[in-house]
Order: sequence, then C-alpha cells, then structure tokens
Amino acid sequence: MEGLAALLHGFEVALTAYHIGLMVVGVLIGILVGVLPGLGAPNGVALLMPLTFFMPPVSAIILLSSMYWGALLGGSTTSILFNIPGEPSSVATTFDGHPMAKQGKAAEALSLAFLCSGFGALVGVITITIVADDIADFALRFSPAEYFAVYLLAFCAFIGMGGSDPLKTAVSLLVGLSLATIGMDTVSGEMRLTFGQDQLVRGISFLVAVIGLFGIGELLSTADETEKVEGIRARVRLAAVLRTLAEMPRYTVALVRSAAIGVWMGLTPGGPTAASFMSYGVARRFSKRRENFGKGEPEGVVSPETSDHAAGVSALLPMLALGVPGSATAAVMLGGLMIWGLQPGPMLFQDKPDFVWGLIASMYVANLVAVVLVLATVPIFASVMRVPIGLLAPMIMAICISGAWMVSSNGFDVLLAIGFGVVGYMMKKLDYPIAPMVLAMVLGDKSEDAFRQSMLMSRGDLTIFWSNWLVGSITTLALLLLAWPVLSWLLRSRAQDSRRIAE
Amino acid sequence: MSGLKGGLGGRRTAEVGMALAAAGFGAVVVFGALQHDTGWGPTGPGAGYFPFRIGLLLIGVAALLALRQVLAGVPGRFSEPGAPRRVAALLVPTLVFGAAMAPLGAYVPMMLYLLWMARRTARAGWALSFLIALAMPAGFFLLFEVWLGVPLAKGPLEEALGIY
Repeated sequence: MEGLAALLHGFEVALTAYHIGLMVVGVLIGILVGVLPGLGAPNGVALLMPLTFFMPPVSAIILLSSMYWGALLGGSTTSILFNIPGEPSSVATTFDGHPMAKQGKAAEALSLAFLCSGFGALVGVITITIVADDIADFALRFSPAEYFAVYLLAFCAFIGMGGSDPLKTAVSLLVGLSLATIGMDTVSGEMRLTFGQDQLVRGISFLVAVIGLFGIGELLSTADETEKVEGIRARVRLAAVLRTLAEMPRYTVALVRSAAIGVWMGLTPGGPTAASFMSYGVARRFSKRRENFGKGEPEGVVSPETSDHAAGVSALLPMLALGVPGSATAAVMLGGLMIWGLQPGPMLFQDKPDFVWGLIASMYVANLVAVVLVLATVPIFASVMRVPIGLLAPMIMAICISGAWMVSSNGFDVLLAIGFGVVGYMMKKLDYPIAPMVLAMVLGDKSEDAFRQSMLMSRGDLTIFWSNWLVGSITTLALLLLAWPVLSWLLRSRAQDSRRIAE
Repeated sequence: MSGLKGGLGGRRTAEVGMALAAAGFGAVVVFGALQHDTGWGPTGPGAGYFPFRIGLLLIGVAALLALRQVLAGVPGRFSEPGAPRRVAALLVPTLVFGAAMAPLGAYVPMMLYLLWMARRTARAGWALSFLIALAMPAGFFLLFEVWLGVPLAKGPLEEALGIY
C-alpha cells in the first residue's frame, strides 16, 4: 500500500489550480500539434522545452506530458476525418476510421477513438502505479554493466522488432550514436569530432535534431506530396458519445487485448507506433468480423487506438525508472529531465517522490481532461486542416525555425535544424526510421559512460556483461533480438524448403 | 540526393547515394576518433574508443546496405515529376530565412518570408498575404517577448526601435 500513499501525495501535487491550468493548456496545444502536419508529439515537446527551463520540473513535466496526450488524440482526429495520420502511431487508425467517417459515421468513429484512447491510457497509468516501485527497486540493483545491457537491449529491440528494415534502423541508430559523441568527452574532457569548430564544442542538441528531423523534414515531405485533402465535417454531440459509451462493452475482448499489447510495447522499447500496428494486425487475424476490416469496422478503430495510448502512457515508466525511453517522445522528455538537472533512474523515486508521483497522478487527471477537451473541440481543430497547406506550411516552418533558435539563441542551431530537416526528408522518402536516431542521440552519452565504467570495473574484460544471471540474461536477450531478423529469415526459408520437399 | 537535384535519378540511385553518404559520415567519425586514444588508457577506454568502433560499424552496415541496393534494389521513381521543384520552393526560402535570422533578427526576415511564401508559392491575394506576414510575427512578439519572456533573435531594426 506504499504505492497508494505515494499516489495520494502525488494527487496533492498535481491537483493545484496552476497544474490543472497547465494540463488544459498542454492538452490544447497538444491537440493542435497533433492535428497540424509537421508538428508531431516529439517535435511539439522539443519546441516547448525551452519555455520550461524556468519552471519547476514537476510543472514542466506535467505541461509536456499533457501535450503528449493531446497530440495523440489530435493525431487520431486527422486520421479519421482526413485520412491523414497526424502522428505515426495513428496510421493504423486510418484503415478503418476513415472508411467509417466516409460512411457518415464520423461522430461515432471519433468518440469511439477518444473513449478507447482514454481506456488505454487508464490501463497504462494503473499499470505504472502498481509496478513503478517494484521496477525502481529492481533497478536499484543495477551496476553500470546492467545499465549498458539495458541500453543495448533498447537499441537491439529497435533493430529486431521495430518493423522497419533492420539495416536502415541500424544506420539510423549508429548515426545517432555518432552524433552524440560530438563535443566535449565527459570522462577525459577532450574535444571529439569538432574538427576545430567552436560551434560544435557544446555538442549537437537533440532538440535541434528533433525539430529538424520531425518538423522541417515532415514539412518538406508534405510539399513533396500533392494529394488533395478531402476532409469530412463532423460535430460530436453528447448523445453520440453516450451511445458509443453504452456500446463499449461489446468490444471488451478487443479492449483488454489491445491494452495488454500496448502496455507491453510501452514498457519494452517498442513504442506506440509498433503497438498500434501490432494490435490492429492481431485484431484482424482473430476478429469474428475479420472480412469487414479495412471497410469501416469499429473494432479496427478500437484496437490501434487503445494500444497507442496504453503504450504512450506506459512508455514513461521505463523512462523514469531506468532512463530508457519507450518512444521518441519519451526520449525527448528524458533529455528534458537531464536539462532540468534530474537524473532519471531508480534514485529519482527516492530523491524526488514529488516529481515522480506528481507526474503519475497528473496522468490520471490529464488524460481525463484530454478526452473531454478533444470531444468538445473537434470541430474547431478540424477546421484548421481546411487552411491550404501552401499557407499553413510556411507558418509552421516559422514556428520550427524560431524553436530551433530558442534552444540556445544561436544562429548555427537554426541552420543545423534545416540540415537535419533535409536529412529527415530523405530518410522519410527512403523509409529510414527516425525514432532510433533520436533515441541514440539522447542515450549515446549515457550508454558510452556505462560501457566505459563497466570496462574499468572489469579491466577490459567483455565477459562482465555475462557476470551474473541478471546482466547475462539482458545481454543475451539483446543479442537474440539483434539476430532476430536473420533468424526469422532462416526459419522461414527452412520452412519453405521442407514444404517443397513434402510436396 | 540525385533525385533532389534534377528528378533524373531513380529510387535505386537515391538509395545507394544515401547509404554511401551514411558510410561517408562513418568515415568522418572514424577519422575524428583517430585523433584521440582509441585503445586503453589509464582511465579505461580512451576518448576515441567508442566513436572509433561506432564509426567502423556504421561504415560496415552502410556498405552492406549499398551493396544490397546495387545487387537487388527496386528500380522505380524517387519522386513524382514536379515534386523536387515544390520541395525546393519551400526549402530555399526557408534556408534564406534561417541564415538571415542571426544578423537581421527574427521578425523582419519572418515577415518577408511569410509574405514571399504566401504570394509566390501559395498564390494568395495581397490582403491575406499581408495579414499573415504581419499577424504572425506580432503574435510571436506578444507571446514570447512580452508574455513568456523568452527572447527571439534581434537585429538592427529592433535595436533602432529600442526593443531589446
């Protein structure tokens, strides 16, 4: 019951007028960011980050996490009404959400999506409440070797399970790790990879990279495509919401299954995007109405939406307890934590209970606020999408450029962000995943430090990563995940061979 | 890369180009790491130990990727006709805007940028273009400078007006 007392204390922190105000502001900005092209959740959090430097950390994290919830909901709105996923994690929602809207069931699809999101988020935050202390206690036993193994696991999970081309994921990760080494070495104080450029001494800010890769890159991609936006007008009335709420029990199996998938993918570094796709795929395989999928099946909205939010919420736990973010947005927040002077990890739970439990309590309240606000404001935000993209894109670009400046009032950062924008555009066109690069930039220094400390402890003996059952099993699991693409390819061709022989 | 320039390059050329660019970046990382201790020093692995190995791995993986594209790449178009021109129409003015920010401040370049983009690229009317070009920087000024106290870049005009 220790957790319950801590949670009650968290509610005392979260339920002040100032913090509830921040939640409302955060959610509204988040919905806007989720609806607008080129402004996703990771980029939105990066753009808001400089504004939080002067806030108490707990207020800052409440603002940023609320924005995240709003962005997830905003992303679903454009998926359903415009067939344009506002967030990568809302792609699976377009498959059945948009057909539903076209059949005149837009209000039903939207309220279903929002209510399921709320349910997924609730399951995620309840899970966090229950297991947070245990995971933190568990992580207290970690030495640098275990930490390096966990970082390795995060990287390998992206390559093995991320769903993109494993080689391209590896390139994205390795470029991110290389970028993280630029600047002053934390151990020896030597200047690395600066090639005499003063601008590079501070290193490359991951905020600048996120604004460029996710924001400017996305805008350039939008200019690349010419598809005309055809939206469906919708207003969500209270009666429709209540009717959908009454129908929710019909989807109990899908809800529970999708929430479980989401929580699992959030806790392990799979992230909301992988979770929503996996959940949609599983639903399509096991549903009784599987032939109706892709043609406006409500279960095809329920499944990805529930998982998306369950994963988005539970991704914050490994970020807090282990310092390993489960999604790109969580990675940006992790970077923020370090800027605010907090050390993510198990000690955070002992040293800053106000921060940890204030955040967890705020997640209950902010997700409720988010669902209510998005239901009330959908028509207003959807109308933003009717502004021609030719007018909208330069305005969003101006926001990104100004945001890059605000990171450290530096003209070099602005040009760097545009450079990252071109790289992000190319990566998008050629199907390179961007999230691993951001994750690697944020975790690069920490994983290098953990590695060097482990090597110091073992005097250069690599077997330290198998020196006890804990670190050994994490390292082995990581290597298995890394080898998974090759293994599955071998298994598949073996199966085909034996089938051929059998025939 | 080649697709950006003339729209001549196919998808395969772009894939190979991207992989080679990644390998090239890996080579830069290795070169940079070689200026430090890439082996063992008195405090464990030297400053160049980690980047040296990461750079080598990057070259290896990127070379594999390039080889796979050369041997078994999918031919096809990198971008639709007209797309490179539309991307450039957004990218080039943005680059000018970004470069002008440090010497000229945020507000004047932003106004000119928004005006140019609204008139030339979006082909909006003068009234709407001016509305966007004036309202947005004004909104930024109120939000960031007055309300939140986070300064944007200032240039000679702001200095002359005494806004600092």
